[in-house]
Amino acid sequence: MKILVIGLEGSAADVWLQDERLTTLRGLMEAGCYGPLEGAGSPTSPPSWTCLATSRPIQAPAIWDRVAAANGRSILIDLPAGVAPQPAAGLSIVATGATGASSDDGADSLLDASRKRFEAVRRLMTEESWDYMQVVDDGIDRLRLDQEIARTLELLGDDAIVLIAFLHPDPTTRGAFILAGTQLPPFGAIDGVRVLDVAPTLLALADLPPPPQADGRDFLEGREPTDPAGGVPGLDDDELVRERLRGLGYIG
Amino acid sequence: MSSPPIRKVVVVGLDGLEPSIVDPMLARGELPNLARLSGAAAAARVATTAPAQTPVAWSSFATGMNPGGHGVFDFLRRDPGTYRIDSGLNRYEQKSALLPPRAVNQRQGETIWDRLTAAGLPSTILRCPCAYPPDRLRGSLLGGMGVPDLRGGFGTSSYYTSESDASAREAENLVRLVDDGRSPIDTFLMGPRSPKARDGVRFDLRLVRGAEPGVLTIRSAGEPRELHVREGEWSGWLRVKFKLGPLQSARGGVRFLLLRRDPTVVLYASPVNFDPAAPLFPISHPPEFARELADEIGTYHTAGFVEDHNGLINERISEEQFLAQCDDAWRERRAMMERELSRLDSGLFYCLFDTPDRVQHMLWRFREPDHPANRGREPNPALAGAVEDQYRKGDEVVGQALDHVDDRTLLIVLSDHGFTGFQRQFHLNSWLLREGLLALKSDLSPGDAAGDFLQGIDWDRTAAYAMGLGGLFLNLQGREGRGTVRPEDADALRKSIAEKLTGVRDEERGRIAVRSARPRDAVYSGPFVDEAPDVVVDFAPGHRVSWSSSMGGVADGPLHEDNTRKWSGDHCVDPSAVPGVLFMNRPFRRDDASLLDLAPTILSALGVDKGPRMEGESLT
Repeated sequence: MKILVIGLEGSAADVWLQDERLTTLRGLMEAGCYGPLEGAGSPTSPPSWTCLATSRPIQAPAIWDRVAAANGRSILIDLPAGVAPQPAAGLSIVATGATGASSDDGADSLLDASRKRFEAVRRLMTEESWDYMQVVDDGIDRLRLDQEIARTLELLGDDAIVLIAFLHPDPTTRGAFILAGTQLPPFGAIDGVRVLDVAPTLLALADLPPPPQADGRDFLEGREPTDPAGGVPGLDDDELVRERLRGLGYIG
Repeated sequence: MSSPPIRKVVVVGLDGLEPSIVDPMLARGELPNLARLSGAAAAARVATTAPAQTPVAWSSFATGMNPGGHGVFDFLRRDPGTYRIDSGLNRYEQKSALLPPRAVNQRQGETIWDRLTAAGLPSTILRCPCAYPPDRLRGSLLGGMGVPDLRGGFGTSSYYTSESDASAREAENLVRLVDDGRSPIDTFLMGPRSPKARDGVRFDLRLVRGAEPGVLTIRSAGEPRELHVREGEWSGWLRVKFKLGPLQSARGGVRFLLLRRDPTVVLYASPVNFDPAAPLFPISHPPEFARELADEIGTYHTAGFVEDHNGLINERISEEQFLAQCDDAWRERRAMMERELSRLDSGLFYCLFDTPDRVQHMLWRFREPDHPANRGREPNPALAGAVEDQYRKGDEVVGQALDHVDDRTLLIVLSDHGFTGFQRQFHLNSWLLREGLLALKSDLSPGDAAGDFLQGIDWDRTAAYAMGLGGLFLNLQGREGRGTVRPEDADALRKSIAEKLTGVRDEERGRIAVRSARPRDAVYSGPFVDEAPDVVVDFAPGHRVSWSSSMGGVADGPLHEDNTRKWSGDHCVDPSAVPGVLFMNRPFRRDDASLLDLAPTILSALGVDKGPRMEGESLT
């Protein structure tokens, strides 16, 4: 099982979750689950990529340490400085420099960096062996990123989990998450998920124990799927293909 | 005297204009704008593709390559592994279980606009077939033939009635009304299928009779909230929103035609088109271009097939009502062209007007009094000139384009193929059955029992089969799922089938029905040849592959049969019999012009080298 975490930093999560044009994200929400992502407790400490990976408000053993203990490789791309040590097995890569570049750089250069970042993600996905991958992006231009995510998911294979996490440096701005997996039924909207709960949940889905000092818990535990048979619709069956052709006058 | 260098190239496509209709109209002065281009000469002919089909031909126009180079061979395609028949224009791929299936354009290869983009020159491409999903380019592009309706097909209409014996016809939802003749009627519009609604998601409608006779009000949560429809007239657009799930919705537009209000309502609804302001999938590049056009010219038809031929084939709407909707198609396309031409100062502009093709398919029988499709139908002398009317409308479009032409503009007007009657259909699969090349499953006999979609065929005893409009396929080992023909025998079998088919006669009419049949290697070259029909069949004008064989059926009865459907004209015949027409506002080589020459012509006019794989030569 592969786990892909796409972090989008600094964008207002509500806007993303309400934007119907984002068909990739909408599809993931429908296929899996989603909801607000609450901080680590302290009003002065914004939810951070550290808590997300460690299930602790501070530096602590992280998801990639668990993955390494199970002989897995992790690839971390453009995580903010201080969050990502070199994983015990795998790579920590600066594809285009850390996110959150100063505003002097302008949106164009951020966009350009984001394009390169996702190109790097896709290249690493195909060229490297990996079990856990995490990338953090500035989250500019929702429509474009929705397509970047679609192109990235195309490479994910048929046994994978993807988490999209929206975190904001301002603790008063809510974060949000979308979680979906190829083998995971839909769970719908879920409230009360904390950043601390992400790592135990992802690890549980991969049949791995939580980080050793985890403060959070697996938020899917004990939860019933909304539609056990649901999920993203598969390719059309014969009847649908027939209907697609019927309007063609040439064939009557 | 040398002409100043070209700054812009304007291409007006008039789909299916037939030279033998154009020439006499030119001579009679009925096409004054085309006459400004041709002078005293007749229309130049431009060779079309094999097969002579719109998506194939315009793809060769766009790429300068034969179909072996761009991969579009027919309206229909089959997956050789599963023998499943699907659209030949685009296919669906699902790359991950986490993503919905995604359309992929079947047309490959480098286009004129790819090369212009690389050279830094802009293009505006309106409604070119096989440009869905939209090509990315410098400039703007609106998809055409290939863009589905909201249910994902070529177009599914709806028929509303309270008559209990009514049944759904081709590509149609039948919706039964409970109508006491007075009270409001609650019904719905059928939307896209979803995992939770296999038949389709519904959008509620309430039909209310107004005080005025013959007027019905359609109330809904759409826009407008109340749409008034008048008996016999097409309504304006109702913009609707289908809820696909708690989080997803799809916006569309639909038009109604009230066929009868009293004593009980009979109502027709067009296929639901993507809303250009918020299409379910991008239909333009850049994605917002479709909306910007709608903001300026009003909402418009977005589906690949705009003209509602199915309503007429199904005999739900009349010829006059079909033509009224065709007029709307002309109007909105002309408005698009006007907006874009008025902004164009350099680069390429292309716009296709599909309507003459659709009208000729449906109304050709009025040109041929002996057409089998006229039997049992009332003559309608008013429609005898309906095809020529379309040519006059095309000429008006040329006049409109000429208003934007200066001495640094190259104007090109062309059709992709000509047209002819479709009186007799040939059951190609039945011929293969008789030749011992195709076998049916043991308990099946030819005819309805053999089914369609190649379902009745016993693959283990079959060497060749037909589907689509252009030819037939070998059941080839290693390519087909249950192939029987060894690769080393394939060439000889292609040749022997082609020889046997060439010159096949329709004895009832006392004439040759198949002019020639050609092994694929004699017709195609390039990377996609293996996807081509193994044998290309060139029918004589008046003949075509049968309705049944095109859909993978195996008919019983005689091999040749009358075509009695209203779809009475066609062009899926020997390509040399149905060339298109070609006009330019500058001198050009009129002899042996081919669609393959247009890409080099346009590129050369704009000072860009033709692509390394482009096969033709510049005509200027």
